[in-house]
Amino acid sequence: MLLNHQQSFKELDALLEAIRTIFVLLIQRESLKEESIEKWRWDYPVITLTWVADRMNRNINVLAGYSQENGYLSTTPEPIIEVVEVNVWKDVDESEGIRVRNWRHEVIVRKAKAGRVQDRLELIERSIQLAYKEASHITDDQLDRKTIIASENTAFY
Amino acid sequence: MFVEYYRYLSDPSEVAQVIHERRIQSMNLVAGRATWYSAIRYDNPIDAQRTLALPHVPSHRVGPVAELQMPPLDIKPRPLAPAFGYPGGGVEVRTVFPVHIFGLLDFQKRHWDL
Repeated sequence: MLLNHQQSFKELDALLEAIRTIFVLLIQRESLKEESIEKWRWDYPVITLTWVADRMNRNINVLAGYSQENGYLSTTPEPIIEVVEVNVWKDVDESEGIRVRNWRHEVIVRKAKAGRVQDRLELIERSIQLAYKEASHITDDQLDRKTIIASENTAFY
Repeated sequence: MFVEYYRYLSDPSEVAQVIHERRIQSMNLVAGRATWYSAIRYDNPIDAQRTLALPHVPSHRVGPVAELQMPPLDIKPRPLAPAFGYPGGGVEVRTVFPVHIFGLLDFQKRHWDL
């Protein structure tokens, strides 16, 4: 569910910013190349770290949200991590106008809730380290999904 | 090829904004009202979710907005990455400016007749 309450946006953004700090440290420690960090894509409380290694694109997505137990926009909402996941992909032009995405998707954590902010951040940090380990070890032959996507030769680009 | 843009929505307050103000713009102030569009028209919301790699199915589509009517883009057309179990591969752009869409406003009643 999208959030339309500015206070909720602010709370979730604070959580996303804390995750950004973890991402920045990870970029520095691992010397990631062609890296970027982006948040709030399509208005969702998501933050994404993307980088390229071994000619494959890799990302870690962290989607935040609110605990359903407390109810949407209740008086005591508690931000939670809905999901930490990784994707690795490589796009290939197979024939004229046909571009194929070879990709792999792994969920690292789903519905992680922790009481105190510090506990939550530690949990997130552990999850991101685990996600990085997973994403950075995926090799070309482990891309187990194949999807035809829009060619970059189309008028869109 | 003539490019048109569409926005896929799930936020009820943004849907209301389109209906009552004939304006397309994200409600999210912390993200600077950055507003995402796709260059692809989806009639099926599941296809939109899959290709735009969204965590939830959008409830509404608004558009088309012709390329020439789009405000300056801070993210130019780019292919979408996979996310949330979906392959992505669609095309997205982003602007921080509003788009005003066609309407017939009755100035006296402050009501959109069309």
